Amino acid sequence: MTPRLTAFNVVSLTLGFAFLYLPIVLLVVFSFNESKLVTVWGGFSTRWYAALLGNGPLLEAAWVSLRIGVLSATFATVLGTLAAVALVRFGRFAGRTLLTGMVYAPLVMPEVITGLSLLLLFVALDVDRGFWTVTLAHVSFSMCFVTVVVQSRLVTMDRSLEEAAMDLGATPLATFFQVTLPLIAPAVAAGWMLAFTLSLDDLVIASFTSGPGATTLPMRIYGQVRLGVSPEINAACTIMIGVVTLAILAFSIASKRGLAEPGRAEGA
Amino acid sequence: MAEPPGRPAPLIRFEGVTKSFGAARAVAGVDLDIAQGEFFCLLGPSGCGKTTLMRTLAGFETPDSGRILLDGADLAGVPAHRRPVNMMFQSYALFPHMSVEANIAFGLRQDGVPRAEIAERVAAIVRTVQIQGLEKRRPHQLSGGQKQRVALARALVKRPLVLLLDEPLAALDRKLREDTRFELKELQARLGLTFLMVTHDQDEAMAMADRIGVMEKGRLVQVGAPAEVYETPATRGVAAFVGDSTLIEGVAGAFDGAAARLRVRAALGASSPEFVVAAREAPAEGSAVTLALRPEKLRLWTEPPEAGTPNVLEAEVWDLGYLGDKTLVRLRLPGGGTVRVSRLNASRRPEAGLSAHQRAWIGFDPADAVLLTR
Ligand SMILES: Nc1ncnc2c1ncn2[C@@H]1O[C@H](COP(=O)(O)OP(=O)(O)O)[C@@H](O)[C@H]1O
Ligand SMILES: [Mg+2]
Repeated sequence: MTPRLTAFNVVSLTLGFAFLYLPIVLLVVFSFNESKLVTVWGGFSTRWYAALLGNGPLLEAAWVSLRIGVLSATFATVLGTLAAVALVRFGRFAGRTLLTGMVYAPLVMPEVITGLSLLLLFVALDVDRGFWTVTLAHVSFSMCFVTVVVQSRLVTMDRSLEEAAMDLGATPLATFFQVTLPLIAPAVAAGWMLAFTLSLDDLVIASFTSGPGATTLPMRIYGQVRLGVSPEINAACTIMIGVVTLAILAFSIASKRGLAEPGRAEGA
Repeated sequence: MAEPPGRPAPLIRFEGVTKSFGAARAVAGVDLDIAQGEFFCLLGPSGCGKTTLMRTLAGFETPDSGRILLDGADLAGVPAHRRPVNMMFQSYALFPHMSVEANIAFGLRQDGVPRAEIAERVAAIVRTVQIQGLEKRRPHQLSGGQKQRVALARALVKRPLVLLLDEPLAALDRKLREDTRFELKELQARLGLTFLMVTHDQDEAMAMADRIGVMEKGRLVQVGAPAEVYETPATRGVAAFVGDSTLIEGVAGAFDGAAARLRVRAALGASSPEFVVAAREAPAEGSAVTLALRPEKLRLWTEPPEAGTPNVLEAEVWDLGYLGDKTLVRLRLPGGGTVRVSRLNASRRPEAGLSAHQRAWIGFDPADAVLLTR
C-alpha cells in the first residue's frame, strides 16, 4: 500500500497550508505595498523598509530584543546543557525524578502563568524591572527547551567514549570538554538557536517582566498595532520572519548534521 | 589465601569482590591473583559478569564489598583516570572527532607529556601495531581490523601496568580473528605486559591465555592453564561450556581404592549400564555424579568390540556432521539421550562405511571420562 495523492488529500493539504500560511503571505505581500492603506494594493515598493530605518523607537526595540536574545540564549544553553548532562549521565541521584519533572514543566506551562509568577518574584525581591529581568525570565523559560534538545543527543551517544577518555587519564572535566562537548555540539548549537528564537518571539513573558526603557520588538509592535496597523509594521514583521526562518533552518541543518555524525553509530 | 612460598606477590589481587545491580548479582565473591607478565583470560557465557569484574579493576564499577589490590595498593577510592591500567573497549570507543594520531596521543596529552615525546611515542606504537599511513584518518575511515589496532595502540601507548581487553576480537571476521590472536599473544610476550582479557569464545581463550578463569553466574568456578580447564573441568558448567561434552548423569557405586576406579551406574532412560571410571577419591556411595565425555576421546566401532572392553554401549548412528578436518557423529543411546563422537578425517576417504541409522558401538577408557560431583 503506497500512499496516493487523491483529490481529497490534495484539497485538505491545500486548505491546511492555506490556513497556516495565508496570513503570513498576506503580511509579507503588503509589506511591499506602495499604498499607505494596509488592505488596498497600490503597487510594489520598498518604501516602508526605508521608513523603518527612520523609526527610532522601533530600531531601539529591535536592538534590545537582539541583545536579550543573544544573552538569554547563551545563559540558557549553558544551564540547559548542564541540566541535560546531569539528568542523563549521573544515573539515579536523589531528586532526579523531581528535577526531570521540573525541567519539563515549563514546556507546557501557560506563558501567562510563567510571566505572572516571575513578575511576582521580581516584585517580592524588589528588583527594578528592565533589561535584566526580561533576560532572566527568558533564560528560565527557554532553558528547558535546550535541555530537551541536548538530552536527546546525549542518550544516543556511546557512553564508552567518555569512559575511554577517563580510562586514558582525562579528569571528568577534561572528558566533558574534550569528548562530550565536541560530540554534542550540534545539539548545543541547535538548542541555542531555539532559545534565541523563543526569546525573540516572546511577547507575553516580556510584557510581564519588562520595565521602563526595556521595550522589546514584539512589545513595540504590539503597542503600535493597537494604534492602527501601518505597512511599516508589516515590514518589521517580515524581517523578523526572515530572521526566525533562518534560525530554524540553521537549527534543522545542525540537528541533521548531528544525526549524520559518523561518531554516532561508530561504537556498535 | 596463603601465599605459596617463593612466589612473587601478585600484580593484581581480587579479594571477595562482589557487585550487584539492583537485585541482580553480576559478580559474586571473586578471589583471584594475577601475576606480572601473565596473559589471563576470563571466560564464560554472555552475562556471567566478566565485563563487570574487569570494570571494577578499571574503576568504572565500585565493588559492593571486597578489595582490589594493584601492585600491593588498594584501589578503593582511586578514580578511573588515576589508575595505571588501560582498557580496550569492546566497541573500541575511538573518538570520532579526532584523527587516529590524536586518538593515540589523547592519553599522553592528559598526562602532560612533552610534545616531542608524544610524537616519538605515538610514532613508535604506530609501528608496533603496524598502522603506518593511517595517522591522519578519522575512525569512520578505518576497517574493523584497523580500528582494533588503533584502539590497541591508544591503550598501549600509556605503558599501563595492566592492559584490559574486553572481547577484543569479537568484532573481527573469522580469518582476521585467528591471525590477530597470535599477534596479540606475541605482542604481549614481547612487551612483557600483563594482559587481562575477557571473552566468551573458548577457542580464543585456549589459544591465547596462560591461565583461564571460568566464570558462571558471577562466580569464578575454576582457574587453571587451558589444558587443565579442558581436561579436568571442575564443575558440570565448566565441562559443558569449555569444549564440547556429553554429560551423563549417574549414581556413584563401589570404589576400588587400589586401582583408583569407581563404578558408576548411569541413568540412561530405561537402561542403566554400569561404567568404570578413574577417580582419585570416592564420592559417597549412592550420591549423584555426572560423567563428562569429550567427543574426541570416545571410540566408535561398527562391529561389536571384543569381549572385556570396558564401558561399551550399543547405539544407533543418528546423523553425521562433516566439518572438514573431522566428522561429528551423533548417536542415539537405546535408553534415550544422544552422544557425540568426533572422528578425525586423517585420510581423504570420509567415513567410509558409516551411515545414518546403522548400529554402532561406542566406548571409552576409564581414564578418559571426567567424573564430576559439582
Ligand atoms: N550497568 C548495569 N546496570 C544493570 N545491570 C548490569 C549493568 N552492567 C551489567 N549488568 C548485568 O550484570 C550481568 C553481567 O554483565 P556483564 O558483566 O556485562 O556480563 P558479560 O561481560 O560476562 O557478558 C548481566 O546480567 C548484566 O545484565
Ligand atoms: Mg561483556
